[in-house]
Amino acid sequence: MALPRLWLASLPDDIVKDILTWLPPKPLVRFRCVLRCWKSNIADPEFIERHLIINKAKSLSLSENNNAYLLCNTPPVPFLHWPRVGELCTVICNSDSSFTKIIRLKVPSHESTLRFYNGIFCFVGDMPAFSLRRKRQAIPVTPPVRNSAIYLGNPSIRKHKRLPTVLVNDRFENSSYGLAFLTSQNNDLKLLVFGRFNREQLRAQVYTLRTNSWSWVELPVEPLDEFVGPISRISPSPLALHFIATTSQVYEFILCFDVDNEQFWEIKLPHNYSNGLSLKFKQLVVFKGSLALIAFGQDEAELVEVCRIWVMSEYGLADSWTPTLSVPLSGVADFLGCTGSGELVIMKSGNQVFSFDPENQNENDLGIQNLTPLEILPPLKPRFYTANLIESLVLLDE
Amino acid sequence: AIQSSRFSCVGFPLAYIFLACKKKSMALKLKSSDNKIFEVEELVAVQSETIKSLVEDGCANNVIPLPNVDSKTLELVLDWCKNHVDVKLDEEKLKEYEDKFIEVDLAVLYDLLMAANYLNIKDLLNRASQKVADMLKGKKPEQIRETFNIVNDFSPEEEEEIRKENLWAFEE
Repeated sequence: MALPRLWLASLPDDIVKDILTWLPPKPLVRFRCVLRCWKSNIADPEFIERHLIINKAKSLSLSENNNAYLLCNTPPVPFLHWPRVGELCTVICNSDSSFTKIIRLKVPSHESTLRFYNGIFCFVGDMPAFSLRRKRQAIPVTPPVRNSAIYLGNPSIRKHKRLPTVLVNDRFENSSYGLAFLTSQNNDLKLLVFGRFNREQLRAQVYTLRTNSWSWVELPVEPLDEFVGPISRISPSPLALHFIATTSQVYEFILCFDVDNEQFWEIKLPHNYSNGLSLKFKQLVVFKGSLALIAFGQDEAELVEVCRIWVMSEYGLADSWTPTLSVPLSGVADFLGCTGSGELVIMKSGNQVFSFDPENQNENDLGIQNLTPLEILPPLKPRFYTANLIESLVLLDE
Repeated sequence: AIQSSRFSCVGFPLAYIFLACKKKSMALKLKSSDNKIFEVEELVAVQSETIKSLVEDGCANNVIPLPNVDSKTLELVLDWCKNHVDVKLDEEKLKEYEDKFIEVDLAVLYDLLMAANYLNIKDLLNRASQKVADMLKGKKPEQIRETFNIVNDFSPEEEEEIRKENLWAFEE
């Protein structure tokens, strides 16, 4: 429908602002060159927050969201230039299993540290440094001293930002990351990073987007050994990050981090979950709305590759862990996520992505192995799958 | 005459007023800008925050004048409110109703926006804003300027710079 001339001109500013909050990020970025005040309005933190709240609600209402999103990236190339360049790519998988609207983003090269949550990603990438050395040398510096920074990015507005260096950067070796988005109090964004000084005790820092700064958080007593990501959010319980952690005494548990209050607590893992299973890898997921542990490995008795799922039916209650599924599933190279209805999205060799329904064991090829990168880069590798993505303007005002 | 009106005000038993207000759905009288009177249940009308605060302040005993809303629009708005009283209504049916409701010509949409804003009815304002946003979604900045009757206050160089920074957003 064509809008008649002058129709909107007589609307009060408040209503015009209201109307703008209902637009997706792409037209909003475009409309920034309509008028000076539109440009500042759209990048105004208050507007970004209102837009976020609306889009959060939109992504939660099922009728609006039949789509799923897949985040892919290129693995780091043997460097030719410094900083190395990688590519990130968001693919929207439609409900009829076609895929469209590929958002591509050139970012500093990054390795296995990519995290993706609610449409915001974070990764550790090369830091553009050595400007002095590069000026003197025509040839790229080889090999560069490993110098990295943490980045946050928003594919919806194709923007990424380098975070300020973590506290005591040079000797703080980052080891694990948790990304939390939208704390329930004020729609802020927080990032949790674990690291060590001089290979000593593990410590944790939290980055807050609103203040653009890092602060220390107290870790529970035990020094921790190993983390298996990823993070998850279980509603309606408090917004929390969940990691599988191991102590030096090989005690495994789920380490939770309350994003609002910045406190840790512990949840027990299912008892003897790896019995009779030679474990390939395990991960925490949100399975049909509940916290779940998913394990891939070989059944020691029957010698077939299987996938097992334990569901914590009552959040936080260790007694409520229930072995829910154990089905044969072979050739899984990576687990990318769960659909809202409880299908597993897995990657097999050759970057082929399948959805797997554990109930009837149907496997369905999503057909996204043919993604070619922008330049002469290694093929794009699917990394994350998410059923609801929030398209937001977060980072637009940076 | 003065005496009698004073009598009716002061002498009216307070308890009775209290009871009347407590009654579940008292009828309210709303008067549109073209002087038409609409009689509606309180539960329906108080979805408008504006009317709700009038009721709470005890200013709703007589006819409530709504000088910014004409009768045609008020009728539509009240229909919306009637359909949103029962919150537990089937979500799909409600969505169906809303989609049908908002399929109106632009003049009516404009009136609805203004009325929803004045009467402070959040869900109606949201739905109407969303409808307009859907129409703006695919437009170019210059088309927006034309519809809003805005004179560009960027210099050509400045505009070019913003475009260059976000070329992707201008692609089809």
